[in-house]
Amino acid sequence: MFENISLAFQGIWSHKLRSFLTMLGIIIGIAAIITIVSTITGINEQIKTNLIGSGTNVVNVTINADGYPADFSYGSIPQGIGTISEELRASLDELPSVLETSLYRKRDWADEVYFKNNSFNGAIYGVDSHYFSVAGYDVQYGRGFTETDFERARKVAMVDDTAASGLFAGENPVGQTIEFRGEPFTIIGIVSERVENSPVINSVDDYYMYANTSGGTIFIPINCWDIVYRYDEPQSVAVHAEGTDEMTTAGTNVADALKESGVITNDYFSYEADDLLQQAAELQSLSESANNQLIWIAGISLLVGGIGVMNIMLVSVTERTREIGLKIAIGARQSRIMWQFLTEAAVLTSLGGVIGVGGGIGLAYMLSNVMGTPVGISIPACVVAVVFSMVIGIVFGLVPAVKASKLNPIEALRRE
Amino acid sequence: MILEMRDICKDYAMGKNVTHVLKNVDLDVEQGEYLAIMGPSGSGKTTLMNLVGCLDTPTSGSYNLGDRDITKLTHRQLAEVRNKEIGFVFQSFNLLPKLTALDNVALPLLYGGVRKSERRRRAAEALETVGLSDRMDYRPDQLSGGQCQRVAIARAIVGKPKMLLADEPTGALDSASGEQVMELFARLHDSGATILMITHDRSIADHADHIRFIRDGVLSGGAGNE
Repeated sequence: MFENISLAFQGIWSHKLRSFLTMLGIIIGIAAIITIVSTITGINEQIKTNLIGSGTNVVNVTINADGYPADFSYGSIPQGIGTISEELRASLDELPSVLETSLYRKRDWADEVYFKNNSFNGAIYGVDSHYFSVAGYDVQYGRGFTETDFERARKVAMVDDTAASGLFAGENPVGQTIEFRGEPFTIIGIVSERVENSPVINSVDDYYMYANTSGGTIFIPINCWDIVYRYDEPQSVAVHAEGTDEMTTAGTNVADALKESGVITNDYFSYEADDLLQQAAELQSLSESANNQLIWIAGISLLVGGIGVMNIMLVSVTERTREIGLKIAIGARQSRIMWQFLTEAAVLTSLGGVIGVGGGIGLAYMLSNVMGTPVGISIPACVVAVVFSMVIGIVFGLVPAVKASKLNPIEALRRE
Repeated sequence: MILEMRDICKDYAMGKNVTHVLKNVDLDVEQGEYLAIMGPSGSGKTTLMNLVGCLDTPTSGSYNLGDRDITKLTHRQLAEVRNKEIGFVFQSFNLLPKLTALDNVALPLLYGGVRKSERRRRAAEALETVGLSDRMDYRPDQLSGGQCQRVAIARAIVGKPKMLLADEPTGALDSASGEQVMELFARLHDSGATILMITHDRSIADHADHIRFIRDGVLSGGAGNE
């Protein structure tokens, strides 16, 4: 086997131009497929990153009403929705795929929050002591919430970078007092997200969505929520999954546990995970289905390449009739003759596949420079491409190889 | 008796006509015999050669080589017989152009499943026998015709076959190189090799112990006749 391979390489090397031209069909086909696959992988990763946030791995479990997200900011709180105790929350941490959970309440549109004469137009979060580690925030300046802040419901607040620069107009926020529906809250620190995750803006809608949340976020201890809002508002749960791929499982596990816990007794409402992964997969499949057709078209090139290989191998068998005749005469078995040609065809196309993979990766990066498409190199795809080209060699080498092995040695030796 | 052919016939169908190329041929070769078969072209001697070399099977008749009935063997077993029991020497050498002399000689051992170091050792030994120890790493295009034929003979003897089968071994050589090849055959014969040679050239056939004649598919002279 090993000798066959080294002989095959010698044969390829001694007919450099011919071998290259034979491989060209395979090279072009594989290069095209690798380029397309790299671009698909790149786009998929981009979608995932934009939608989910790279590395934060946080999925929110919120209350849905009849399958749609429920908003309790205004109007009365419906019957049958209880609150999640700290013990229940701690038990959620133990669920499979879950790293840590945190309880929070939020208002997307804060009103009646002022610093001096500036009004704040961002979001308000009432958070427990786990929230910053779950959602991936670090205290940049000042201090974080302490046990005492929670126990005594101290009127303290933290702001994120955006709120810090927007609301305080250049002054140092720490130590300042904001007015929160008439209550004074003291700013104790500034947090920022560990992973910078600025969304890509592709449309006007995206822009509005992004612009409207640009006011930033103010955080207060969840125990202070009833000072400014109401008692026993329904909570949401932020779940830190063990990995990006486990976000769906983690979210579902927490949602199921909450359903079983009996926090909600009203059938109209239920805790559900915001399945961003699902949404990402839908977007990805959209971009994939378009590109899969391109792969089929590139596959035609492989077919043509395979036929080219068969053609050249048939020529090679004819050229080497005497050699084959001699080998049979001195005792080579039919199977050995067949394997010699099969190996040669497989080595030829595998080499074409390797060159094609290299060319495809190069082409994908070139395209990304010119057109700005993202590139994601998929190692399994490259391996599959090379193995597949080898299979092409074996399939299309079969006819010439069988022909060679079935040669009549008497006529083969007589041929000049 | 190494080789025993009885009543061998070989027919070729050419359209509706059937050509009888060999007609009831009997042939015996003894251990250590040096036999030449002479005949003009078209006499059926090449067909006989192919049958003896197990490259072809007879239409009827029996053929025993050693203790094996050749007519009952499968493709795979025939390949093994060609590999182990018979050493071919062709008119046009039939060396593989890209292999060195040593690799050419070692080729039958490769097909016989001999290990690499053993192959090299035995191939070098065979090349020494034919007097080409100093040409081991030469390729055929770097060797003269006579040297090429000696490499081919080394390839034929490397597997220690029961019988050497030579088809016009000097046909492509000038007379001086031809003479050298014949001397080599004589030397191999002296050391015990069984040789069956086919030729149309009387002066070449005369090197053998016995000569038998073939004409129009009939091998003249019974077994043992001169």
